[in-house]
Amino acid sequence: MDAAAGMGASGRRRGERIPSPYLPVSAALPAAVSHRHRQSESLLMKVVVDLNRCQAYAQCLYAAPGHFALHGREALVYDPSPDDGARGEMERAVHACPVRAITAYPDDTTAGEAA
Amino acid sequence: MSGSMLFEQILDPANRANPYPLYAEMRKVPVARQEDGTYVVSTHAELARLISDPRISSDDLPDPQKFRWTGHPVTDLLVRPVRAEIRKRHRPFIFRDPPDHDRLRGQVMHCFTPERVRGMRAKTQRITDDLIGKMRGKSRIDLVDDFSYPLPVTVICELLGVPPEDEAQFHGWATQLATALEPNQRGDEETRAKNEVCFNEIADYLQGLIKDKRKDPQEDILSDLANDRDGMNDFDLVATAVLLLVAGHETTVNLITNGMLTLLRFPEHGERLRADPEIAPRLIEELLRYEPPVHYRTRLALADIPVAGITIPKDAPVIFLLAAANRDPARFIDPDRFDPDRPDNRHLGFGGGLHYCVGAPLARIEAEVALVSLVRRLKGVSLTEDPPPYRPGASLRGPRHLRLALNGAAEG
Amino acid sequence: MTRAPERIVVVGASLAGLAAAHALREGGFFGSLTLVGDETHAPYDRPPLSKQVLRGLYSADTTLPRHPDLRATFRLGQPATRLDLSERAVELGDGSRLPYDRLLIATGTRARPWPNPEEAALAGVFTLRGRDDAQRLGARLRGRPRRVVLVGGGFIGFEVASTCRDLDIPVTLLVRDAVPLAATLGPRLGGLIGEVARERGVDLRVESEIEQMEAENGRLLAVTLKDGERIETDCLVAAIGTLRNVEWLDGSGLQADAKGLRCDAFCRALLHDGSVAEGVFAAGDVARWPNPHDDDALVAVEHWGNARAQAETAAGNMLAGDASAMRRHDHLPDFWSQQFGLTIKLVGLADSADSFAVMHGSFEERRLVAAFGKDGRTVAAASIDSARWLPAYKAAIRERVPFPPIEDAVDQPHIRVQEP
Repeated sequence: MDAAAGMGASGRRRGERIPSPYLPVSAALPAAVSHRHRQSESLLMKVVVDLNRCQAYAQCLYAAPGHFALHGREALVYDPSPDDGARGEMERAVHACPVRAITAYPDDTTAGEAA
Repeated sequence: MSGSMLFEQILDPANRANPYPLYAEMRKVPVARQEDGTYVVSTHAELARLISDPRISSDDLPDPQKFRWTGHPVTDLLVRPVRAEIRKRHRPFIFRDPPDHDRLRGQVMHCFTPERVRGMRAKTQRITDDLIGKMRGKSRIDLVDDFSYPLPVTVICELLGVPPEDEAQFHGWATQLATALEPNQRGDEETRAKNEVCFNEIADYLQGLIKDKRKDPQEDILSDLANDRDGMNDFDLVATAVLLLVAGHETTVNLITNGMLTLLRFPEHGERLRADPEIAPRLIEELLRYEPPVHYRTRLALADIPVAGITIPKDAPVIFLLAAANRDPARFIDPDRFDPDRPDNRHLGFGGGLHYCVGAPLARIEAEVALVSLVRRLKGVSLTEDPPPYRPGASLRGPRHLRLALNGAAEG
Repeated sequence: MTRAPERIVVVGASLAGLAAAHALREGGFFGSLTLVGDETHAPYDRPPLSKQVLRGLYSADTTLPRHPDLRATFRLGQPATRLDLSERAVELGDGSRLPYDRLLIATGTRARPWPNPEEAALAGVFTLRGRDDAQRLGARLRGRPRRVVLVGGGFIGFEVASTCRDLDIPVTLLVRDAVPLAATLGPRLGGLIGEVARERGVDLRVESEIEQMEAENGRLLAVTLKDGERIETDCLVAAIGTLRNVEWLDGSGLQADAKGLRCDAFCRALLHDGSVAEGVFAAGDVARWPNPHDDDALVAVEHWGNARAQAETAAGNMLAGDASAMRRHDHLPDFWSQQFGLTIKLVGLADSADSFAVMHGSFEERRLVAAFGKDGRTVAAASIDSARWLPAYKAAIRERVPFPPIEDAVDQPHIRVQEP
């Protein structure tokens, strides 16, 4: 999303923010949440997106804007570990994706482990 | 009736209430040539593939018909031909291909931000609460007239920036212009004439509104589009505004009405939604599959397209029978079963590819707020007639009236 | 082999291993399921590590979602050290033995270490393969080094360079080849990406290698290139490729070497003589298998999509009674890369293509679909920010349509067939 100088041969300035047909383009990136201190690690969700399948319909951005963003026209970045409080929004995001690229489960890293 | 005339039967209003057996028949031939040379695509795999095919064009509207002489030379020789030509070249982006489509849609998407759309949730809830509040003490309502129509109208007018006092006028225009989106009606001569009159009226109105918003910009989409320096010209602006208004009216009404009809037909699901509104997202996606507001869209083949063992020839009209693909047993287990817990529900209720519904996020919010509130607050509600009377459209399909018996509405 | 399995062991607790575990349960396997992983972390996702995790956006924890009913035993921090095919057992680093009815080998790859161990040990020299690497490097980047030197012209190198530019950190990217990314995307597209990188402020050097590193008190100070130029830097990232984790299979009898663990079209691992190792399957980066989209040429890829798809194929086949019930692995290779605001996607393999054509968009716009041909048929397609056109090209590749695949379409330039 960083504009760069330079003219393209077609006359369109390279880096000029051409509105994408498919995304509402949030120029502002989400704030870095690099050192999120959580009281307990137990109330989380785990999320993964199949970015081969993703075609940037951006329905997830509408459903859970705090957890999905587009860098450029199609480059989806997302929160792999949202708080459990985002569960409702994540549910909406999972089901709104036209290609069902999002998988999300409540996190319990001990879940599914046998004795 | 042979398969080559099956689509005619689908268009027949007599089959509006339950077209699904015809869809099943249609699916026997995934890409079926009709007698008039149209190719109907009704299976999921083929439709999903073609909806993303670059040889498929959306620029498939018939040319605006010759107008009738009014007897006024300036009108007949100058104004109307110019208007007709302009309209032809400035169709709304739903009927355009890239690069024009991409440019116009991009400009709209730029205003249609998640913040703005989500900001409508509270307003949608307020309107919903008011409309349901009016049902208190009533023993009969018509869900369409009393709720499913007024709600999306108010929401889209607010989003676009149409003053509330002008909404009623839009009701008439939108109903008429919806036929322009309704493929089986727009070919009709009388309809086209009416649409031309209607479009001119709405264009005049919108030109006035756009002028106001340039003088005094507000926090709405029309203001944003009108004041965008690098934005679309006025012809495209009017066409776009009309599209957004009409699409915002005519489809969401049917999503909500079809939704309530389905929940009343299968009360266990209505009950479940009432008890656990968190299932709303998956339930709404299942509604979009099972009883979608848009049943088909039309396209044009720009080149020979090999698919499903045949070749769609260049210049052939193509019909995407989305609602049939949504019930394809090759893709959906037990497709005729309404099942909100269905996994991997990749339905085509909002289309797909380049033209995926712009308003989808808004429609989902409206449907969620509406259906959750309705199941929660309407008391002892039941259908009085099944099937209900349907609107004429075979593509934008939904009940014209959904008359319900009830014991009033609970407090919000 | 025809008896239903009761114990399944998956060696490799990453994307492929976890995907296989899910597929096994979904496929109706109710027996004992054990996943073995050499890292101490629960299975986690790697692609975000070079992007949002390095940038500090959202959480650094990319642990993969796990179904609550998975019922698998995880032996983490335990490398597998030996495979005993005759006893049908895997030995772990702590000496324990895991017997199996079916075994899935999904041990993947590791970052190729810097060839000079002394230099590799310097403070300021980083690799990026796993979570811990990403944590360390991310912290360093947020400390704002004056200049980062990246070694390696692959996708990881470019993605890290992009992240550095997002963080407004000066970066020099050293690529050994004349054109970056040419092996995967072909020289034309590779050259375009190089151009984009330069536009975004990356100091991209092609045909450039490090001669030696300069250090003081164990800290990196500068590097000297083979051409003699000296670049001051206290942060060097080596993204010089990967090594397949096959060493533990030495002596097992399986056909495994640096190119991968050889398996057949059904993901069954093969012995040296080419016969099938009973009950043993392979999936993901470690596997080398016949690609039906390329006349069964042997291929090994490091793709996220293949790891999942192959794990699913292998899982299904592990539960099948015999070969007649098994499914061929026919995944069409696909991958993506996010860099400099662009999303690059490739379906099919372009490395042996002999022709190339832009099908939509243009290089100037930095938005396009390009198709690759080989011997007259379409074998691959690349997208830069045009993902919605790809499904049609994917279908064309699967059906091996003549090249160029689609003409007279919407928004197409004049189709000019060139060399890749």
